[in-house]
Amino acid sequence: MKTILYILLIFGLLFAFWSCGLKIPEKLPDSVSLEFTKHVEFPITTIDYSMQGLTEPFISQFEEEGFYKVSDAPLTLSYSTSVEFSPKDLFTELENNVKDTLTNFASNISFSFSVDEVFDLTLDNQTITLPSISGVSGTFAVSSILLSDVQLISTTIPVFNGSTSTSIPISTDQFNSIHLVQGVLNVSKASTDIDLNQLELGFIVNDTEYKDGDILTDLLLENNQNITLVATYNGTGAGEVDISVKLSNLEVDKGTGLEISNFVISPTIDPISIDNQNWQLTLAGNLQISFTVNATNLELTSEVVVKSGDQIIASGSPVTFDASKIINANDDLNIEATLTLAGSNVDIDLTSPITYNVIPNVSIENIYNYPVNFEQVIELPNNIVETTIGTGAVILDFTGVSIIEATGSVYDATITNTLISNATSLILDFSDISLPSTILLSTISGKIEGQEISFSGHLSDDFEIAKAKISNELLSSANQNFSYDIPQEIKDFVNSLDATILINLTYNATDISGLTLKIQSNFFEEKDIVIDNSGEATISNQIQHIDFNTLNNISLTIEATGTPEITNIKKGQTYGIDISTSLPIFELDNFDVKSQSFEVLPPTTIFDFSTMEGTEILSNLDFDIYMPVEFKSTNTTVNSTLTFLVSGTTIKIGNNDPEIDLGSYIYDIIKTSSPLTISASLTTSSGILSKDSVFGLSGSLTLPLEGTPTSDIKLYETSLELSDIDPLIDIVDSATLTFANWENTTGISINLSLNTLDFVIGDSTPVISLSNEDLNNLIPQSTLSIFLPKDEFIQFNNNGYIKIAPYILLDLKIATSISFGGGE
Amino acid sequence: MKKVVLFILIISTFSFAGVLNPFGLYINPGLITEQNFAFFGLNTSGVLLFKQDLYSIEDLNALLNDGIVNLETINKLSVYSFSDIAAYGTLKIGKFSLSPFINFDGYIGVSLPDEIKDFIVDNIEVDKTYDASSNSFIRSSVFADAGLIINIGKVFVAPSFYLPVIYSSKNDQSLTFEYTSSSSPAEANLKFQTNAFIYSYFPFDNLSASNLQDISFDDLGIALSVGYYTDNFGISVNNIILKPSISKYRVSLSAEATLLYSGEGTDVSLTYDATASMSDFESYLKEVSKIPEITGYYKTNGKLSLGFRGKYALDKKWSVGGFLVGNFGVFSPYYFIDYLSDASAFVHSFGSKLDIRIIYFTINMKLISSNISPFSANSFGVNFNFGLGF
Repeated sequence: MKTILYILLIFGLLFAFWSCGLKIPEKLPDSVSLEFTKHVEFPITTIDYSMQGLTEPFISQFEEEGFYKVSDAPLTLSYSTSVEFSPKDLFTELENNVKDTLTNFASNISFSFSVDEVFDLTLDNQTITLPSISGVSGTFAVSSILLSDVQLISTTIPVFNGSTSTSIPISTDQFNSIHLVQGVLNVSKASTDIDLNQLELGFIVNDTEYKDGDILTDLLLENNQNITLVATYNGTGAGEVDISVKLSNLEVDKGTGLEISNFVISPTIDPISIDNQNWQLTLAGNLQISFTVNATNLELTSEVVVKSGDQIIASGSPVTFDASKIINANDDLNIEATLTLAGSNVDIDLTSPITYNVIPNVSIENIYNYPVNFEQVIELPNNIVETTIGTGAVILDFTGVSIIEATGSVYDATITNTLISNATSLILDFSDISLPSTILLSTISGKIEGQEISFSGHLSDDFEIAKAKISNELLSSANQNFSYDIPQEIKDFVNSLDATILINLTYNATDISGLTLKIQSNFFEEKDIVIDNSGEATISNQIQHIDFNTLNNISLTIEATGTPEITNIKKGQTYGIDISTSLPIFELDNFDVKSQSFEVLPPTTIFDFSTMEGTEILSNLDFDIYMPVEFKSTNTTVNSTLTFLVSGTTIKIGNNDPEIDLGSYIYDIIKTSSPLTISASLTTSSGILSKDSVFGLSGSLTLPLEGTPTSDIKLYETSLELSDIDPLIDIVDSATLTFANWENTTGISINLSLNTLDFVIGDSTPVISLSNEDLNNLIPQSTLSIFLPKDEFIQFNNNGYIKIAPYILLDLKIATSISFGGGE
Repeated sequence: MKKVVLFILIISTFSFAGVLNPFGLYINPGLITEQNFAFFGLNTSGVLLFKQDLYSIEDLNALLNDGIVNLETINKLSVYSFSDIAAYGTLKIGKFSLSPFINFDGYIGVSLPDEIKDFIVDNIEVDKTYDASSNSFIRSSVFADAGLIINIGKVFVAPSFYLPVIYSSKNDQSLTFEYTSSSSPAEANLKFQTNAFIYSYFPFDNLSASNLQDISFDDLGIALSVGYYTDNFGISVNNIILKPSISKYRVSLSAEATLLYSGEGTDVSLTYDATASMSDFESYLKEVSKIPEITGYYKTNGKLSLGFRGKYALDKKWSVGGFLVGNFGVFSPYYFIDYLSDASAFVHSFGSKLDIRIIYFTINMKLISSNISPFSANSFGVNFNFGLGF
């Protein structure tokens, strides 16, 4: 019973354990609901807005117009301008005309040449490569060799009336095996016992029966091979017969253990060609010729001769060339060989052809009439129309060949000088030759010292062109002139002046004659300058006091004339004409001026605010601007007044008046975004101005970027694209928008607005709580903008920046329920 | 009634079989003869143990009874199961017995790092980094064995052939997770990447009878158990590897997710990409061995026997347990408490054995929890043994 109590106790305990753990439901729930709350912080974006980024395009616009930045904090721009006027400036065009005329003349007439340039001998390092004697190799077929007669069988057999067959082996010492191309079977029989006329003998070899006199073809025979001898005796009686069987006229293409005695072959070997041109040569050296036969124990001897045309030019062993035999290069070298085959116990196979190989060890000893066909035309140098060469020659030096003979010449339109040979060089005599001329080298002969011949040419030391005539085209192309009409505005302003002008000419023309430079002018002195070797010449103005009432025009003509020639032009020197010019003095003084107004600055747009971007900040800003302008005259006692037109407003300033401020005009221009256009004219009283007299205008503008906005100035505006988070909105319980960065170092008040909310950047970091409803309102349309608020004085600090980094804290709450089926 | 009691008493005078099992969590093949048939027996046993750490028993009850799932109360992203199913026969001749057996045993566990659970459950703050990594988030080792147990007196030796059915290795799996966010610059970056291989001798996606026929002797692993056992004490050294087995197939599991957010001024970009894939079983040869282990037990005898048992494997997985058995002849109720290091689980087993000499039957239910109290158990298991013989 105790046991049963124990059992009950244990079951009770078990039940207690189970019941306090898992509760097994009677019925599974109809739906499962998911619960989840979560706090997520997520970055949104960063806005880094540097003042430099804002002002950079703005500043660069101003810089393009000539402004420059003078300070970053506060940002200040400046602009300076000055205009200077000196009476000499009126004659800049005249001075340039004189200079250009001189420069053009000098550059057009100058030229140079040297004999060495003219004789630019392309002969330098010409090479001639002689053909080489190449080897040949090939094969030739030998269909068979002829062996001496072979006794196959010699035996004695008994003969009776009727047929008897006896098997008898071939027994010979002349082969082990042969393949017959052809052979004749000879049978001889002898007997004292029977009538041989009644005896017929047949021999069966490889199932074919042969008889005496039969021709055997394409048959393989081996020593000791059995042949069946069939003897048919029609006579009476019986007895013994001696039988002997031979093969004669035996032609074999394959065999082993052969006895060969002096079988001769004359094969055909490919010829060796040298060249396809007609010249001659001699050869020295030898040919190594080898033949290869598919054989063992074969003794092969050969005898070879080489022929060119009919003459034998090489023979012996090795085949050696006879260097005294002259050969035509376009005739082939024909190789004629005679081979003798012999030997005992030879294995040979002629079904594969015999190969040969000819290796030349040959050099060309002499050449005769080798065609070089070299031609070069020596042209006239530029700007030279006629030459005669006095003395001298072109010398061609050869290497790789000696004892030289050649054909060739040098010729011009009228004269031909033939070529002269001189051991290792050739001489082309240029005496009395005129350019252009032609050098011609046709053929050479000589003893060869190498496979390659090279030659180069040079002028002899006494080479000299006696006379060279310069072309008229060069002279006429150099001619220059100018004609300068005094402009009316100069005449209206200046009565007269004193001028001092000096032209300098430097020339260099060695061994030239017959060249004269001609200068003609109504103002400068007229002069003929004869050019002779080197020297200098000057030209000054003949009119020193210019009265513009009588002088209306200044002209200058400069010409090169004559029929110039250069003589005795030597090798190694440069000849020609070299002229350079300069204007060392151009001085104008004592201007006698009238009382007159004179435009010194045509209408000029200094800057144009209408096309500049970013100026709307300025147009919404109240600021101060200054532009002091000063007018001065120096080194003169003549009274003067400068008259400005600043974008339509006339302003007058006398010399030595105090400076005036154009700031208010500029302010209006900026405010109305218009261009700033300035023109200036100078009014003088009559009197004398010196060469040092100067009228000067200077002005500078300073634009500090500071002031008070007259309305909110927007720096940055963006509409936030929030549609991505739309699906999340339902699970967002609440959200907070705050900023990781909230910095403003610009030194000015800048505001940020999000829809209707407005914060000063840099002040305490905003924490914006957004309810689910707020978020729903933000999604369709929300605008973030950064702006300068109205009525707060600002001073742009170019080093400042705004840095904000918004991020969002989301409290998500998910409570969703999934129900299962329609419920049973 | 009295007759029944008398019958039970008569039977109880014989010595009855013990409750310790030759297979299961603590393998000691020697115990096969403890099933106590005199000449011949046929036996089968099974253990199935499942442990989950996702939810406590309260949350499970809320789900089952009220249909409420609260993601915030997730404890741990971890599940673990162990199973052992064996069948064996025994032939006894005196002190000598021969017992052929087949046995499937092993475990499968998936456990993601707590940092990932925290990322799901806890607050996510900006400018903070959340990361985790693991190279053993899938642990599995299931082998099929077939062998012969030879008992001579109290000593036994048990050679067996074995093949990998499901196997994963620590060296070729990886899991990385990282989430960083920054308010300035405005950036968020999530990266999750995992890759693992499961090896098997069988291509489970394309199984046919030929897979069994094609088993080659060369692929079979050979292992040996040797040991000693008595009524009071036993020790067994298992999985002495004579030859490693070959796994012929593998499947690769991979998952990847990335999220990239950046904002600068009005330039805001968000990219998101997630893929997960499981490849087909592809041919891949790999040597796989069982892990050598040692098990032991000690117990007292009598009406109420008290005992301890333990296991230590060379891969540092260990188990230890204590038990109390009432020996009432035909009927033996018992209670086991075990701790499994691999699953971090306390297992309370309540069961009993019914043994009427020619047939026995054992069943126990297991309550599994992460702490020692069975009242907080949130996972369950079951164990049965059945045998007949004479």
